[in-house]
Amino acid sequence: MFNHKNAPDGTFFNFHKEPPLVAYEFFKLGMWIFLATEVLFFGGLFAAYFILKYKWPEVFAAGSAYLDVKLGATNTVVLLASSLTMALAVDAAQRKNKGKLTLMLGATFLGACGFLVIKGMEWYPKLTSGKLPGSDVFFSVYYMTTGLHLIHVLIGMYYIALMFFRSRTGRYTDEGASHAGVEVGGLYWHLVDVIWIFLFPLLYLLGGH
Amino acid sequence: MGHDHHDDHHGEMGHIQAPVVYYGTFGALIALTLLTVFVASFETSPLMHDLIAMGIATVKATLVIVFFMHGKYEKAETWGFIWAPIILLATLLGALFIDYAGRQNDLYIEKTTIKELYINDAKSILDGKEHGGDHGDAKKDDSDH
Repeated sequence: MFNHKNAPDGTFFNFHKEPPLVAYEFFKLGMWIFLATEVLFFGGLFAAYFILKYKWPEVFAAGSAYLDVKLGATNTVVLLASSLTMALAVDAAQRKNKGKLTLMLGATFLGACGFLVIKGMEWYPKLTSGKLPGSDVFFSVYYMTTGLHLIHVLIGMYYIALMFFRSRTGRYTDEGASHAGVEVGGLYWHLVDVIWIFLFPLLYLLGGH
Repeated sequence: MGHDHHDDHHGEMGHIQAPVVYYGTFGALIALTLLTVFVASFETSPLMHDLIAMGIATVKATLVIVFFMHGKYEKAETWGFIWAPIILLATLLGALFIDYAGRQNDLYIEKTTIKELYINDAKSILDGKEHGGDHGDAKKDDSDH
């Protein structure tokens, strides 16, 4: 019934022994459950952010004013655009369009690279001018939250690169193949986007007035 | 998709949306990002500032979950795992905001220096001596009442 040589189920590790449609539902539900733990993980950081900000509002206003709103906003747009291309990649996988799937995964990876470059442009001048993780409570929170977000971006980039090369073999788009891996990779990448959606105004827009 | 050539052996994997939905969602997300930057320039209380920023971000996150992540096609059991962390986090942050808004005695605690506490303590000891009884008796008296 299902005989793609490389991809018995189209998922990440090929652990699933269920029929592809069942594996698809299980794999997706598994990722949603993992994302729930991610939300709570970052939720702890958000709670710390609010507690520390109301304790030291002036330090947060001054630190936030030091950040570059234009670079932060640009990075928001870059990440939203890479989320769009990721959604279009899943759409292409659903439509069994191998060429478009590879193209959109490549575009998503480039978007992630753009995010990294802009993040480097933001961090480098700060790190070389003494705004280090321990300089004040705002920068401790800033590096902790954006740094942990950055680790998620890097993990996402690994998965996207993996999907990019796998997609070229037809693993997700051949007749009878499952695109579960692309859909689940997309879920993870969108969560990285969602977290940044909250981080951007909380970090960059406090000292704007 | 599937209705044409995939219904045969493994049914459908997800629903296919019209691509215009993705572009429309992206447009709305960009517009809301600009709105976030715009409204942040207004002078408001820190609490209102946070509530507005979190409110717009929540709308953006909802768009991502419903349209980009295909939340609108997900089953109730998946939505259980979407709502669970949101409700838990809302409880945590909500309790935090209520605590912040309702807390009364921080001002007193910050103005009461260790020195003042020491003086108050010294005064009460002196008061105890003024009233004639020794320190031990005064303590015993307190604990009886």
